[in-house]
Amino acid sequence: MRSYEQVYSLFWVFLSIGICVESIRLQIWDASSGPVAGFIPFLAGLLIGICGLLMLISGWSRKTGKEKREQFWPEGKATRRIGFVLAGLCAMAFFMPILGFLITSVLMTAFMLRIIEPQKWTAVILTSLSCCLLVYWLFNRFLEVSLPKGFLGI
Amino acid sequence: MQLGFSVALTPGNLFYCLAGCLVGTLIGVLPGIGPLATLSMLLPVTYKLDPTASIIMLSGIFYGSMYGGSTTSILVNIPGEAASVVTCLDGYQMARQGRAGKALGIAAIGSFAAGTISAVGLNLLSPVLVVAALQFGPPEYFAIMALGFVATMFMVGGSAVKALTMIALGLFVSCIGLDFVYGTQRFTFGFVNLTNGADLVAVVMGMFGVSEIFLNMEEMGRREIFTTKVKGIWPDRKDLRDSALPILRGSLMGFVLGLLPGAGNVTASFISYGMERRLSRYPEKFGTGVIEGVAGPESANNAAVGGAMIPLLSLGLPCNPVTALLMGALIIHGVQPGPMLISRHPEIYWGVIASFYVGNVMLLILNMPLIGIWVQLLRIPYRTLFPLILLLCVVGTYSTNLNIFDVWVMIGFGLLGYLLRKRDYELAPFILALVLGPLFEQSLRQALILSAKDPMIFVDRPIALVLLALSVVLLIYFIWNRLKKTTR
Repeated sequence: MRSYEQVYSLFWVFLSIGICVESIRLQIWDASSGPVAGFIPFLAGLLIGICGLLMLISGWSRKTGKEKREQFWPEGKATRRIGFVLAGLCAMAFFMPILGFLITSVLMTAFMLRIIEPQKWTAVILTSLSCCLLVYWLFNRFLEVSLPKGFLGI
Repeated sequence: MQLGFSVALTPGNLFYCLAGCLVGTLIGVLPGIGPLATLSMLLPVTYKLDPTASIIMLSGIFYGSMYGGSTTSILVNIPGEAASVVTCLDGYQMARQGRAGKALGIAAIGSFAAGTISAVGLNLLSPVLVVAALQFGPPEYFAIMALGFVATMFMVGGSAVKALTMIALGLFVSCIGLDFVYGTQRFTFGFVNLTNGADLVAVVMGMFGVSEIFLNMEEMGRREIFTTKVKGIWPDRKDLRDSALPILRGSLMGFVLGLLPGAGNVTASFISYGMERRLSRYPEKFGTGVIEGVAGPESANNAAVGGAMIPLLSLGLPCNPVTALLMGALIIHGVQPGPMLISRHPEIYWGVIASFYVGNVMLLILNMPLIGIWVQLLRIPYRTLFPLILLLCVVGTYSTNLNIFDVWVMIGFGLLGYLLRKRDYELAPFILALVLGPLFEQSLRQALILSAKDPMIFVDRPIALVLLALSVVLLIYFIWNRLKKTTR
């Protein structure tokens, strides 16, 4: 598949098949009460599949035989930045229950400030500490939202 | 309205209105974060407040962001939020000609005038719609939501097929969890955390907040800011004369478009710009720095806010993702929006309407002198700002249910939102369908239960029939229009 549009269209078609199969298992219609649990998901899945097929067919019918290779992912540095942000978020979600909110948020913020576009360590430490403490105070103290405490009790 | 003003003018509610307006203007000024992500981040802040204060503050953020978006459009040529995109066309050119102050001033005045007109409209129309809404039953609600989905498909920019895909995907995601009639687990795949479905705040934060950051990571360029002393923010007589009719037209049109599902402030601003250019004696000058190109769209996007509140307060139906989140906020506070809101919670109903008047006055008074501060804020590099935005997203998501699973949901939908936006899939239809999905399904199933599975109930009830017929007519019209454009 040369066009990313067609990749998306195929994805919708496969997703639609999965949704419809599971909806049928849940049951779509009952003789006594009409639409049941699987009805709306089946309808939604069907619509997704129809749209996917329409886009797939439309993409094929527009093929001229000489397509320029589309660039989907941005150039190297930008892809790395996105990867780092995603990794930082996943690490935060994973470690927050273990290390606690405060430690995890300081580490994540410092990581982002240092890795994405490198800044001086002084700025990184000051910014991450002040931002995280402010957010901690706002949510934990002022709004009394219970944020996770790690094994260190903070 | 007396009750409304007595509620809105209490010191507490005045404070929250001011806080909402300031925060809203701030996020409108700062590119990279929009009103929807901010509303979802600040939703947990409102848990401690009473419902009236909560909605007043969140509404303040909504219309405040419309004010703030123009500042960055004019000074940096980057729209602070989507509805300010067209303001870049002439506003930035005015800044380059040394007329940034006049552009900012007329944007503020136009926004104030539009906000006031839409507040009056909200005040007058909303109670009328409540009376009609008392006739609504499940068939009517199903029909109006179907009309809303059809309108959304074609009102949002870009491909209607992609918009329909997003609506269908939103409907599907709204079904995840327990079936409300039989209690069957749907698409939970054994995850206990999905029993109540995907949390709305987590999905919205991911789709709009996190995905925006991923997109911004693709380009971390520098911004050129026209800050050589922004002076002369009060427009002169000629500017006011030139702007008067565009402001009036933009306000009326924005208000009407705000009522329509899927349309809203972005569509209103684009249509206003197109209309002013068509009506102008010098259409060729648009794009070179004409004040009408700022006055009309800025008025339209602000007026659409008031229009959008009418279906929410009267029918309990949101027309766009922001009002969908406001509806979520009301429900979290145990208040069911809809026709009974005016009788059960008159203080909320009239208090919110009155706060629109108050908030617009606040924004006009605040924004003119604070322009200098907003300009300084634009100097904060994005590389310093985005970790704080991410942190607020994580904390805001977690604090809703105190469940780390929601943070994973946010990350997942953040990635999904990023991939969808890369290929020009609009996210607004998805959120609308996600919020309306449960009510849509409930209305359909209740209607068929009422009629003993006879689908003619949708035809026998006149309001439902008219709404469904309108949906079909709209669908046929839009498809015919698109085919005509394709074959030309």
